[in-house]
Amino acid sequence: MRNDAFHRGETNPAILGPVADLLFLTVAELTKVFPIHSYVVLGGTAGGENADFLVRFGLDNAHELGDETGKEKMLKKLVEGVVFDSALPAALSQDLEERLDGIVDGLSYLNDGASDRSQLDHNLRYTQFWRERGAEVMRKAHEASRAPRDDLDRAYEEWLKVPGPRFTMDKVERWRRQATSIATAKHPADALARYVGIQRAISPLEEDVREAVAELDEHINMLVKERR
Amino acid sequence: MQRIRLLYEQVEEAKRLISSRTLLQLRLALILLDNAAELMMYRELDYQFAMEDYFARSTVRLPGKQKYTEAERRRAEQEFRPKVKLSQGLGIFQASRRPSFACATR
Repeated sequence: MRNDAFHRGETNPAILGPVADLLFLTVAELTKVFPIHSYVVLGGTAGGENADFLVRFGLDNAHELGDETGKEKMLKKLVEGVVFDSALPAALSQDLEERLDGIVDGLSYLNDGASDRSQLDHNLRYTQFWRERGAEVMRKAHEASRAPRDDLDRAYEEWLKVPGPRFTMDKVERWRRQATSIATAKHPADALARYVGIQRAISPLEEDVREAVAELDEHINMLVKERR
Repeated sequence: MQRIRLLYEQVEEAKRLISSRTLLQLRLALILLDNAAELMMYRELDYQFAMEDYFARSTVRLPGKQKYTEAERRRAEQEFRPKVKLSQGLGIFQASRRPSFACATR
């Protein structure tokens, strides 16, 4: 998630608020946990911005900075008024549910609006087969001047066993159930870890479906323009 | 003292940004918080490495082999995740009452 946010500029607005809350509370806590080994107070007394800082954080003098009481005071000041409303697990759960529903809707759209599960599942599997093996089998059959049907059927049956499809409707439905259960996670960090795990698993499929839908839309738009 | 103050003020500023709830401010807050965490880890590991170097050179020899390899040090100085890993080894995150930082930043 960190890599997505900072290195690829990808953040999910739906969960950014509660994630920021969680990170804030975690980092605030770390200010107390990490030891302060040494520091220098020039002239022995804090002045200027340093003095303002001590007052703002309720410290009597700079010597309190490094001791446990002082750090506890500063932590209290940092988290003052911040309430983690535990909305994060529910938000994460809902976000994934919506995205998984979007994947199924996209698959349906790509299959001419079909809602039949077995048809969607077959087409989902066959698309993967085609990319990984089918196109090559077809090309070879064509080169050998054979009708490709038998070769394709045989290759598909083999492929279903090894390596097998990466994405199936079973998996999508299992992720959907797991996504729903995130809402009941006791720790927000646990919910976040589970969210990231599912997100990683579904992202390639989500991206594929999104691109295929966009391509289909573009194709349809071109046909509409041609008719005019 | 200034280094400590700036770190706290950075977290304080993140709090202000988060309260706005706008997309830009939340993203900026994430960057500030992430950087604050990285700075804390960096400073602590820097201290630990210096300690190890000190005892390696002194006549007072600590039992056991070198705790951090050169490669580990280099990675931890430059990258985020190795910092988290070595900080976990120090027991820093276990001392926190909050859910695991490593988990939150996964």
